[in-house]
Amino acid sequence: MAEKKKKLSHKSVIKYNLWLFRLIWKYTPGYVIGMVTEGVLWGVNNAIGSIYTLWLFDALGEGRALGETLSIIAGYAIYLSLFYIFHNWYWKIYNPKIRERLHIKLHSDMFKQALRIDLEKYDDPEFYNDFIFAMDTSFSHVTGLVEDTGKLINRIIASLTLTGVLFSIDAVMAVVIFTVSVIRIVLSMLKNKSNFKWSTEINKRSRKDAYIKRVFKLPDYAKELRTTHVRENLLREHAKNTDEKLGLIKRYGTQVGVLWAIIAVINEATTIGLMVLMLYKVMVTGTVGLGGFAVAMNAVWRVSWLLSDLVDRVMKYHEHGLYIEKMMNFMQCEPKIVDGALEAGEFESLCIRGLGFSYTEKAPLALDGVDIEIHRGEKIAIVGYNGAGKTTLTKLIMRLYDPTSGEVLYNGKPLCEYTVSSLRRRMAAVFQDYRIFAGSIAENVVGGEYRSENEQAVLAALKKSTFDTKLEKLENGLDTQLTREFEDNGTQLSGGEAQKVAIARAFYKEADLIILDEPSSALDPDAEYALNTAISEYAEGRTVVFISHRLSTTRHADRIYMFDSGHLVESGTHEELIALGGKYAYMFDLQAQKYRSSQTQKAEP
Amino acid sequence: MARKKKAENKSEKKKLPLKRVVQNNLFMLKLIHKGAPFTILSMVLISVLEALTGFISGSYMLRFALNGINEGKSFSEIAGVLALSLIPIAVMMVVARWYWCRSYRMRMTRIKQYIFSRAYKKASEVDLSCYENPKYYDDLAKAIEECGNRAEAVNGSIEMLAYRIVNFSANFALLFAIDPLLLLFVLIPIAAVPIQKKINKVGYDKNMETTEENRRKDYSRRTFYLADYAKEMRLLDMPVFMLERFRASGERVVGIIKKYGFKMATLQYIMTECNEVIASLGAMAYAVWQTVGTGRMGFGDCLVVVNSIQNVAYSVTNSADTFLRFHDNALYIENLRKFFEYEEKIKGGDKPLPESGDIVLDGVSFKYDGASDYTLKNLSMRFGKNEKIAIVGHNGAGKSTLVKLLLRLYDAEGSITYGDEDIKDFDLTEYRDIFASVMQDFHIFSLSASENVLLRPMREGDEKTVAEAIEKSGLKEKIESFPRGVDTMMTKEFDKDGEVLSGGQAQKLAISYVYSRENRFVILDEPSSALDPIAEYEMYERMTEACNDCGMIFISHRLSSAVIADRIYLMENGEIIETGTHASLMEKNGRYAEMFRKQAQNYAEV
Repeated sequence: MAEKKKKLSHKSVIKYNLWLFRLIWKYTPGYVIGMVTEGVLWGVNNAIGSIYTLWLFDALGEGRALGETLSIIAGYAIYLSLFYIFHNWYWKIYNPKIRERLHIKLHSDMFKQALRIDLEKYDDPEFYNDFIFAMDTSFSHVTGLVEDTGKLINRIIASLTLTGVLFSIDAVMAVVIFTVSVIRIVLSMLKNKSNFKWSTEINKRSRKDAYIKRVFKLPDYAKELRTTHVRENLLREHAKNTDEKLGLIKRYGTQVGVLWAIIAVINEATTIGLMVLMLYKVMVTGTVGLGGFAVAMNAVWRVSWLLSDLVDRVMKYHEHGLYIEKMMNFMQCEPKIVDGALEAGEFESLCIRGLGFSYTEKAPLALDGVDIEIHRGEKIAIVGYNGAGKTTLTKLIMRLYDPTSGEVLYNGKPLCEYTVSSLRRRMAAVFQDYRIFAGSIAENVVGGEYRSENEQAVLAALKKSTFDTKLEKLENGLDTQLTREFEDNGTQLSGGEAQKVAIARAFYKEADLIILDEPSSALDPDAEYALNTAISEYAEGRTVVFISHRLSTTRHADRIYMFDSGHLVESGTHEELIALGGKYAYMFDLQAQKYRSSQTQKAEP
Repeated sequence: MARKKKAENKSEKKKLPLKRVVQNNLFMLKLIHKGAPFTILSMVLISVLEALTGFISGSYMLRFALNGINEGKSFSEIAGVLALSLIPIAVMMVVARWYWCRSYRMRMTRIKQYIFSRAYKKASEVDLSCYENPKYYDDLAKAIEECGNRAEAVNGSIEMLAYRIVNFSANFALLFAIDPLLLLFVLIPIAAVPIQKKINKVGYDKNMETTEENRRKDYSRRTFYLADYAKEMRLLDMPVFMLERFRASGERVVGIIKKYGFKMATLQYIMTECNEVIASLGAMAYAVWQTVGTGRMGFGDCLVVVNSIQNVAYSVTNSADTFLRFHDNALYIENLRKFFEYEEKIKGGDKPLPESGDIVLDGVSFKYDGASDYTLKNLSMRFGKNEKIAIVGHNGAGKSTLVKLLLRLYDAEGSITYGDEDIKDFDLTEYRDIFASVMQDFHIFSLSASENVLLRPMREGDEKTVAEAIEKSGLKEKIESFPRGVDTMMTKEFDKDGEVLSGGQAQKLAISYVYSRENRFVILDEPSSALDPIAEYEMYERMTEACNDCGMIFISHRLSSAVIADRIYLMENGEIIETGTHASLMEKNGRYAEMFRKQAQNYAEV
């Protein structure tokens, strides 16, 4: 991502930066005002410093009275004392506070937008990396825009006033300083260009290094590193990487070093040359006073620094523009999945007709011509091999995606006619890749803020998911903090336990339609059995769709849908499908075989 | 309440005794020296020369020129000296730039390579408990994370020290030469050092509190942006909750800024006032008085005085910081040192491995370090050289721990022998090499597909081995569909054309490892959890076939797979509660039979 260096037109650079400026102004006008004020004050400060030096040394050179000379110093001391009051108040109090405010306001809006965006955008790696991930990391560009603008104002004012002061002292000197500064800037830009190429190349290698470091650092890989020889592969990769980096240094290090040396020599030559020039004017022609000499010696550094920094800041707008473009696209991205007008009522039926779906335009169909009917109170099983499209189907039912062709009817009307939130309130799901949030057990079950009046409901849900035995062992009960995100002694649940919490979440929600995607994959047989019983009990009156490739879990379903490569190949009750002798029967047989033959052994004597 | 307590705990920063600080920094210097000899020497030399050059080309020449005017030297005399000085200064500049850009960078790269490869080798040798016991793991993780940076940090601290010493001495000498009384103005910044310390302390406290809140904010932010959470965030009420948390933390940060802001601003103001106004301008006023009033100083002295005072003041104010940096380095190096000097408890012997043999456990008990209960209790088991052994039991029964003992990732009480010899007597690598194990939590590495199969560097003739292995694991078709076949990079970690395998395919790839080598024992720890039934069935068929001439140990909680075993061990709470073949256990009608029936119930004939 970072390697691709895109070019924006000047017009877009201005457009994007202005857009963000308006946004920042909307959230925190004080931030912008403060930054401009600080920029102007600092800018003027440079010129005042120069004038002070000029006056002071001229007074010395002209042999003025001691009192007069000292009063110049005193005046400057008073000015500085006042200026620093503002400066410290601004940077230590005002600026951090207003930045934090901006952070909160801007992010809150961005979070809301992230939620509005279609789930498919999260699956699209390009969109995800470019926009969602970029958003996550781009606050530095937001504050960067404001602070760079403040600095830019400062540099412009500073270099203008300083150049003015210099011209008033001696035009030749001013021109020399100015010219050398420009040459330096050009050389620096060349140097930066090489440096940029260099660091891009280095970065590519650093990613590999980071990966290797992770493998050796994380406990996850520790066993494999000890029981296999894969560490030799990794060490070899690391050494190869180092050799490549050495090669890069030979190539770019020389380039950058030479340019840098030239710049340094020019600097030195200018300083000494200017010293000689000014001495000549002071001693031989007498056109410049001591003050002019002193100012010149100070200014030679400052002007070139100010100008090169000014150029840098201007260039920054382009860089900011690249990020802001992403941010703007993100903020203005309109979801395809939008609310309909109806509120989804109690679940009666779900009817899927000729459903087809593919994740991207080019991708093959993940589902093709699927017809399914689900009625209130039914227990429906969806079975099939890995990659058959089972999980995709559930996502379409929850309207996390819209179908490519065909339709999904909720109580007889297409999903898109309902408001998304009312629809999702009717459904609860345990995903295969469910997440445990950093928070208490109670918050994880509620899936939001926990209030003590919900205690009974939470306990009941945990009991149904058979988590209650574990809960009894936990000292803090429902308050137990999960994950080590915030608490070093936070509880890390095992895979099976975490899954039970996720299942309890679905029970708690009391939705009409419950979707369980491989809910028992991390559970041991006893727990699986208990869970199946619980689901059956609980499901009375409610509708459950469960997905599994363990056919023992699904055989009691009212109806089983067998999927194969995106197609619905068989449907019916377990008995019907066995009688059919098709794919389901074959799959069931395979799994049952060993249990069955061994059971009969027992049954005979 | 809890949150506050934690922040307080953290602010108690560890202190190391001076001796340890020196030792630790020396430890790193030794590593640096081994990575690239004479780095420190060359670096210090260059820094000293640079600092001197800077001083001469700045203050010294300026003073020389202006004082020259005072003393009535001629223009050509002054200009001549100035012009001549340019030559050595320019040479010095060129040498220094070349050094930093090329030589130093290459040295640093070599040093890092040296330190990292040592750290990585060590990481794969230290006892597994260093990874699995949080007590040790934190230190280990920090050691590995920081070892590269610390070499640079130590270099940086030394360079800074050298630069500051030169800068301080040169400016100090200059002030002394001009007028020793000027040094009195340096006392003001020295007197203000406690204020600087206070500022650091306040800043540190503020950071500690803010970091805690920022962590919370960051977590909320992740839940909104990470794809992993996207589905649940859409279906649960979590967003409202997370947003509320985010805002609350943000408001607390504002509170923290308010709490410390005024104090920080005031202290900082006093500091600036002392250094830049009272000390600097005071010295200036004194210099002016000496020039105009008494004529004891020259114009040049006036011009350089402020600069030198500021330099000296800066060095003094930050002297504590210089030491602190060494102390900080020492803290981090402490971890690295502990890690490098860690003595493995699990060490190999030198007895040659027997041609073949059984693995026998006799009265084996095991307790994890720091745990109060035994994970495994008094196990006696036999794993015959050609037997298929199933270990079954609930989650948490101790099955995976048992595997770790077999692989000698931990040592236990009691005896484990291979071919009648204590496994502790064999060379560790050689002993572990008799096993091919596929763990429950196996990993796909960001290496080529072949390397993931072999899990060792490729050698000549490996193409065939790999081809056979992926054929047996049923992954051949998939891998051949990639444009680069077995050379395809796995994962997209750092190759955009890398391939990402699905859970089932990944498991097959992990299993290919078993087929790619000669094994005496194969250990499969829940190897079929992500496989669909057909694939699972085929996997067991083939695996049994491949393990004709070797021992096979498989762990499962799906009892159906245990049926084929020559012997089944049923574990519960760290103990073997039943042993026998499937038939005999069913006969016995105990726990196993009960569990089996429970699972089989749903598969019974209709």
